[in-house]
Amino acid sequence: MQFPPQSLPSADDYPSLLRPGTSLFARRASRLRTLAGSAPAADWLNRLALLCDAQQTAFDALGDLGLRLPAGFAWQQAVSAGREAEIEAAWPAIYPQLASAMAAAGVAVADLGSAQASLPAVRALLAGEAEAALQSPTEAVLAAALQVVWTRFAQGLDVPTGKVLLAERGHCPCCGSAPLGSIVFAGQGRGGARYQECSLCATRWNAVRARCTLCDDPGVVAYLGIEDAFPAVRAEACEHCKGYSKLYFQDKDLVVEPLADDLATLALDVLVGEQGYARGAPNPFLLTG
Amino acid sequence: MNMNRRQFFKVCSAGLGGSSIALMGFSPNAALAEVRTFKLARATETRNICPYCSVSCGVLIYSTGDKSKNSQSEIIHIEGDPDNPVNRGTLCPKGAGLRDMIQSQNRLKWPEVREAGASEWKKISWNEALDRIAKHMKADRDANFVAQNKDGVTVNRWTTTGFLASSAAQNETGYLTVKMLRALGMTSIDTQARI
Repeated sequence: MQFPPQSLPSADDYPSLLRPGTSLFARRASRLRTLAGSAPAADWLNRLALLCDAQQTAFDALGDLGLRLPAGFAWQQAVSAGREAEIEAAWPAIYPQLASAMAAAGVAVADLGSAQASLPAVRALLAGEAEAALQSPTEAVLAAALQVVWTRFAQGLDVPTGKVLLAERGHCPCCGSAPLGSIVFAGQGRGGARYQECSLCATRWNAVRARCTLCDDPGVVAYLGIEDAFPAVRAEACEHCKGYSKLYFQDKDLVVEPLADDLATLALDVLVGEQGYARGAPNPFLLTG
Repeated sequence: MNMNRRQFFKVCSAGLGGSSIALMGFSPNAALAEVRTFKLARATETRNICPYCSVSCGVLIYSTGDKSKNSQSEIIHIEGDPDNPVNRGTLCPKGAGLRDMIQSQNRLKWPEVREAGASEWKKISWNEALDRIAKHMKADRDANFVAQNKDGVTVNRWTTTGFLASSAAQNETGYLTVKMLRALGMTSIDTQARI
């Protein structure tokens, strides 16, 4: 007797890793413009949308880097380990393009030579090792240029379509950077699954729901959101480490975009900070000081 | 997880009023005024197992309340746990209605007993209930324990009482349950989680 193929929910399995799409920056720009709408910080969001547009243009012009995974790669370390120089070779050419786009929008940023001095601060932020957000528009544009080359690298990777046992879930398996938040998908197949999104290369990797991603403590996490506004955005706050990172729920808003929605919901950060929690997720476009 | 170098920072209203962010077109006054019009809502999300059938689907339970004395905790939503390999976020119609069972007016919330000959159910405490169960078990075991079968082989079995274990029990609970019941000689042991 022949049985039909199994169609139980347990047969569904979603991949551990998702690589970024080729229109990532265009989607961010469009989302920023939507969010700008009637927001009090509309000018700011619209300027960042211009930066994302410039990133997409540079991304398209860059083309495939031609860097691939070594055969039998075991995912015990970040894919990029030891190849940073190769991957980043193009950023000094991209920075001036982004800088001129910002200059056209009325934001003055330093030239390439003086921007180099900001590199350590930007790297520390993206690695999740900075004690404050970035301080100047120059640093944000520098981070944007690095995002373009790293996203190009991540986009060219042949990531496995099934489960991968990652050695480290707190940092990006592709580039080793800290995640900027998590997206919870809606719909058939991977509905309800949570993926963290890398702040540098936008690779997404699966993480268990209802558990702190900053300290891995198995205790109960709280979800803080704004009543009657931004239903798709919640801060996941942990009583153990007193840290939080934001979650973006696609079932509340299908076009939610972690980087863009993060910037449009800084009010949530202020309110959550007042409750005594500190942010453990970097966003290179968030400036303070 | 490597936490050694991970740093945390606060996003405060003073930081958002800074000159760098203003340079990018951020208008602090309007944005910070907006913050004060918002109210923070708090919920928790916890894992559990659906109590109904032997499939034992994973569920995520959302509740409000911050466990402080003057706030009432309430379950506001239950959905399938997408990380549970058994059901991958799905629930059957009965499981999807779990919240209504929890909040049902007819839900049994404490032990009750109907004495022999009585027609009414009477509320009793957990201690009383556990004592009664223990006494019934002992009486039944004393009356029906079989030490040897008719051929004189030692069997030490107690077949007149059975035990049904919870579907939410983990391996460790299951181990202790079997240890305890087998020590009493009980042979009819089953669990809701059996498939």
